[in-house]
Amino acid sequence: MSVPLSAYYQTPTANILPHEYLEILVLFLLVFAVLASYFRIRSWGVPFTPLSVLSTVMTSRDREREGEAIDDVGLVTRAKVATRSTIHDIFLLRRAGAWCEERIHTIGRGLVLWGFVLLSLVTLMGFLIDPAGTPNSLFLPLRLSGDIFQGILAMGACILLLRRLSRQNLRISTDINTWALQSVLFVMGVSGVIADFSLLMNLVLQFQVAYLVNVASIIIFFIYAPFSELTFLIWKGSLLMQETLSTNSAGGK
Amino acid sequence: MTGKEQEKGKKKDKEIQTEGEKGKFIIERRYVDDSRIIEPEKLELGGVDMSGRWGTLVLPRTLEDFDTEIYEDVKDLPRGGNIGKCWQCGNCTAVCPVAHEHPEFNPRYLIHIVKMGYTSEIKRHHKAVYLCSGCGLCSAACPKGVDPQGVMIAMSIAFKAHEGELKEL
Repeated sequence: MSVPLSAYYQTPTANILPHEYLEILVLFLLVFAVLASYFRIRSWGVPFTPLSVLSTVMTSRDREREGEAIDDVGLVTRAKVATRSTIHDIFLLRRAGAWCEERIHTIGRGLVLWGFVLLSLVTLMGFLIDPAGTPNSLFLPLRLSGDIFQGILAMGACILLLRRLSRQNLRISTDINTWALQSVLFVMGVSGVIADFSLLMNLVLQFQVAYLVNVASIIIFFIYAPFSELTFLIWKGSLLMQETLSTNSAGGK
Repeated sequence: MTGKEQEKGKKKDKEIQTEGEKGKFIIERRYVDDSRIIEPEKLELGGVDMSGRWGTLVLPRTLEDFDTEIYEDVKDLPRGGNIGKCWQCGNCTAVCPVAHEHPEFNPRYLIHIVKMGYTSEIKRHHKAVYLCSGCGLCSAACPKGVDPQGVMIAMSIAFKAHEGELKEL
């Protein structure tokens, strides 16, 4: 089947939702999500730990070990500890993965995490290379890799949803917020993949529907995320990283 | 019983007699101080040998510091509202995969000390709450709909909010 790659360069929804408007909207939603998360976390009476991690990495102060003053822990050491902790604890799911009773649960979590992070990176790269979204040599590879990462995200969310749906006790006891968050992630991934494949196959109507569903799910995700469990996960993840930083970087470990 | 099992049994008996392992067979032993455990070296009651572990006695403890402020906070935080329903069956801890790897993480006990407001115990064990991996198996196993996974979320936040007071120990 010959694939009309040129289709990628002519978005049929351009008249409905121009590319630039969408980018401004996503940027606005991102700012809203960060601010809403900040105020929600602060309303719990605790510090906004993502900022605390940043300030811990950036600031350095004298520490004492066994009563003897040691050299100040530098930015590089702290950054190294932060990177190591991010890779092991978050991306390799050392905490959330090793203690998961079911392998499939770990896989689901991993796919959602990696899919989401890589998709965000690809989207950001695309925006930085050309905010207007005009065709260039990197446009197609970025978009295709974006499709793959959307697929990974959808697969992970699907695994997480099916795990809860297939077990009666787990299904009954699952919080409505967990269902909502996982469903939004699933719809976001699936509609993105369907939209791009519909475009490749010149199925304009399907593309338009899937594309609009995709945009709607992105909007819902950014509006809903600060009020979901995700905020707690970000808060807790940052808190644990801060603990790691304050214990491991003392003495330059 | 096979020879191997018998040997294993003998080894276990020997282990029981080992010094410094007082109260080895007490469930959730880590929550009982050594000073509160009495294991008589030689004791005979009504012709029955009650020496060692058979005569184990756990002395009651006195707690004077009660503060239910954290409990009130947990109830008000997202997903912590059902903590009051807990009747301490321990199903959450039994199914928890983290508790098997790290016995210091015990959802049942954490809920208990927060509900009762045992400040000194909260000070000793509060850091364990961050070990929760959020798999949700405890919530599925809970017969009272406490949602221990959600309660662990609320507790993490409440402990952090009271960090200053909990650091004192």
